[in-house]
Amino acid sequence: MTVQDVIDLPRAYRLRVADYRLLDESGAFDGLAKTELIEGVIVAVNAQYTAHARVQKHLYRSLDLACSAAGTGLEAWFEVSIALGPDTLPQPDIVVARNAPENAAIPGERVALVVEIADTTAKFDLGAKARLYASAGIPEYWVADVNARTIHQMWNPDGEAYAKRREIAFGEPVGAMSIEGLSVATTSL
Amino acid sequence: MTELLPLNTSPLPVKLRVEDYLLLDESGAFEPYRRTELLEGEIYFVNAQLRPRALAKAELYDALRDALRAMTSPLRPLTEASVALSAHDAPEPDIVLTSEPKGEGLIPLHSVALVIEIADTTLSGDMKRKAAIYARAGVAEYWVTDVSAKVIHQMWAPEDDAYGQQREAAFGQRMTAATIAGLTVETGGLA
Repeated sequence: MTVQDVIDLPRAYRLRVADYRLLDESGAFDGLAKTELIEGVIVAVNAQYTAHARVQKHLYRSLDLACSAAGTGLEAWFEVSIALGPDTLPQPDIVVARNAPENAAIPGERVALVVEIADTTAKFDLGAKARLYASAGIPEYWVADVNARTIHQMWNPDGEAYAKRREIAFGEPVGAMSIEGLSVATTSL
Repeated sequence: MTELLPLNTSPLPVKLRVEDYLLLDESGAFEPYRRTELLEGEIYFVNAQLRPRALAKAELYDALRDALRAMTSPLRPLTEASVALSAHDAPEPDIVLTSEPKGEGLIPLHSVALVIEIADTTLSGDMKRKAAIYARAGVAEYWVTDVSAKVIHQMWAPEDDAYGQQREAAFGQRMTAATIAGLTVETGGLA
């Protein structure tokens, strides 16, 4: 949209990252466990349970160790914000990235892999979030489904979708398809 | 967030509060837009107002001002002033009749006697969603001026999400407010 378009029917305003930060700093989201800016809309959860946290903790540890072992300059991060455009600032459960800045969201182009842990959120993570990450060109995306005990692995972003995908049951090793030499065991899941 | 929310582990949209909306407004976030409103925790904008709507608003404003002056009413019509309707609603009605036109900030709800929206492309939203929002807040009377059909929908007696009473007047007919004693408005200028 440009301001030259004639808009006389009210449209939803898409919050920008600057708006989101301003509200966050004002304390507007105090009391919410986690907020994210997704395509101009702030979404929040205010609770997280141990089944989700356990899988998240395990995958984070394994990925961080695997990154060190692979020696690729990649690091795993736990719930950091990634900048995917003027109105999108998600906070994935785990991010694997290189050259993460100290005091800013990680730019999308430095992100190698995003992992979301889904308990109640599988539909959102496999639908809207997959579209979001593919559109931003995130090379690889995993959704660990706590209930189905499986990891949905997606890679080769093409437009709004990932061209390649497979499922790996908890317990089997998961080898990243777009990161040379990165593989994690999931036996303790 | 001051309100107590049920526990949710799935992401839900966060409803913005009036103070969030005002903070964004002060920051200049809405400068590209002509008009913004906070409705049910979400911000909406328009950037244009076409002539039929602007003219209808001006005619109706004049008629209301004349009628209120003649009856020396303490009510004053204001155009495009935001109303502090609820924690998550700050609409900007086309015309609002308030007993407190002076003062800082938003128009307080308790001062509002009548809200009027001028509808062209917005008719459906004004008749449904806006009517529900105003009724829920307890706004005593609500008029929707339909520029295309040349008719004014008059609603009063708010109850929950709806108005219990409704009638229509064609442009040109004399309008009598249902809840403001002695207020009748000539709508000949609209015809």
